[in-house]
Amino acid sequence: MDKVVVSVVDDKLDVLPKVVADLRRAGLVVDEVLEPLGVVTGSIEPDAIWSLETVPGVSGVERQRTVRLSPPTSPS
Amino acid sequence: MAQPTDVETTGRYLVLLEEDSVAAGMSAINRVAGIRTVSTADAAGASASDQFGAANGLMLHELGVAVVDAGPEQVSRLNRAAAEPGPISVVEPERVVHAIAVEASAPEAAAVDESTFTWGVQAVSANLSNATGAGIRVAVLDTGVDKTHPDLAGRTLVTSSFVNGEDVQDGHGHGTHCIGTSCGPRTPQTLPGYGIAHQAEIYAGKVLGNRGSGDDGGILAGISWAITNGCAVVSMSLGADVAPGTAYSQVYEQAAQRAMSRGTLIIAAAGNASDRHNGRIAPVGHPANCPSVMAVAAIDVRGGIAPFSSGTVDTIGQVDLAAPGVDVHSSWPMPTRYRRISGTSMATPHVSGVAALIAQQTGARGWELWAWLVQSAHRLPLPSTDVGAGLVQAP
Repeated sequence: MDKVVVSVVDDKLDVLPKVVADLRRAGLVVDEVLEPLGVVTGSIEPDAIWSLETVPGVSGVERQRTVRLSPPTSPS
Repeated sequence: MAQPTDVETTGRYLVLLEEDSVAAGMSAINRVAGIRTVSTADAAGASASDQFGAANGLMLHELGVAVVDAGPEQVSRLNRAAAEPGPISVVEPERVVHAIAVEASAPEAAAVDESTFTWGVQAVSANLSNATGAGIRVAVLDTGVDKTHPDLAGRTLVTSSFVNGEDVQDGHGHGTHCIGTSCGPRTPQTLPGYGIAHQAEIYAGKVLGNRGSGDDGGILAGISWAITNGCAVVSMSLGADVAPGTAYSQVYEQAAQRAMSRGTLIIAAAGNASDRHNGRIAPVGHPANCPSVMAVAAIDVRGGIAPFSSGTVDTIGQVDLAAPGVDVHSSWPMPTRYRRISGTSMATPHVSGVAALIAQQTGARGWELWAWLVQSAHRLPLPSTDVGAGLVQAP
């Protein structure tokens, strides 16, 4: 499973639960629905990621990146 | 594997693996050089140094890099494997990395009197401002906070952890340091004063684990939490380095625009990926490279750009402002209490603190707050590609 973040277009934010249900049907295992951001986080089989992009109301699908502290901030 | 001769190395080697080849790489290293590696992915909680003792190699799972003890014969075998197709990509001697603070600041110690306030507080003129940040909520999304730190006693401190299996207590130190700079005290029992918005309400969201890394899902959850709680400022001293020409994240950009429309300004570290002593300027990292996220570069006590500070190298990510980020004194989890460290991570909370001061004094939020920050910054005689509009200034 790959972890992904999915963003939803402005004019579907008032029907976010419907979009989330469609995302689940497309194979997304939902972690969180971040309503203030219009973003859904979750995980999905790598070969099914494309199907999320076809869900009505989805504006973007991205694999989650690992974000870290980088030198020289890191304490020794 | 040509290396400059003046680079100090540890005697260990870094083995970079091809994308998604950690398992294959671990077995290849064993097969080629007889080196057994343990993976960071298998040992939650144990520190990297603890794990290294158990084998002669440590696989940094998230990085796809192994750190190995190897003799000359093993190194040449690994190099031969790197030259051939397979999971082993590059082999390099491990370098000794020094804190920038030690190198850059020692001769400058007398340049600014830090007996009362840190050089950072003075550089952004926070010590001359009447604003305190009172009534403004500042979210610091980082490694958490030391809730027992005496310098935070009596402050409004709301916390939440977005890291699985870790509470908000800061087992790293970075988060406590960033909170100290943005919202810490101006007159602690032990001087100098180091906090900018010293009466702001602190929202500490843990989105990076005690080892200093996290993922997009946790960070976005932290931003969402900050918006829900009415935070005017989100301070993110974190990032992922990107290659030049890499598109910014559409998901973060849209999220940042929505945050702005709800009155929440996101301020993020530009990144520490440059090596300016060797002429290399790296692009602003993710997510600071999003147009609607304010990207902060680091300057030193002389007003020069920090050698590590990432810069504007293409039209995708650009530096918006600069702030003190070299040799910065701030809080550290007890019993250490204080530490001086460097990075755009340290510059970012200076801007976040000033943003809280401006938000308090002007009532500005979102894009209006962004405009105030940029308009009032002191211009610097440096390329805008390095410092944006210049050095942030308290109202």
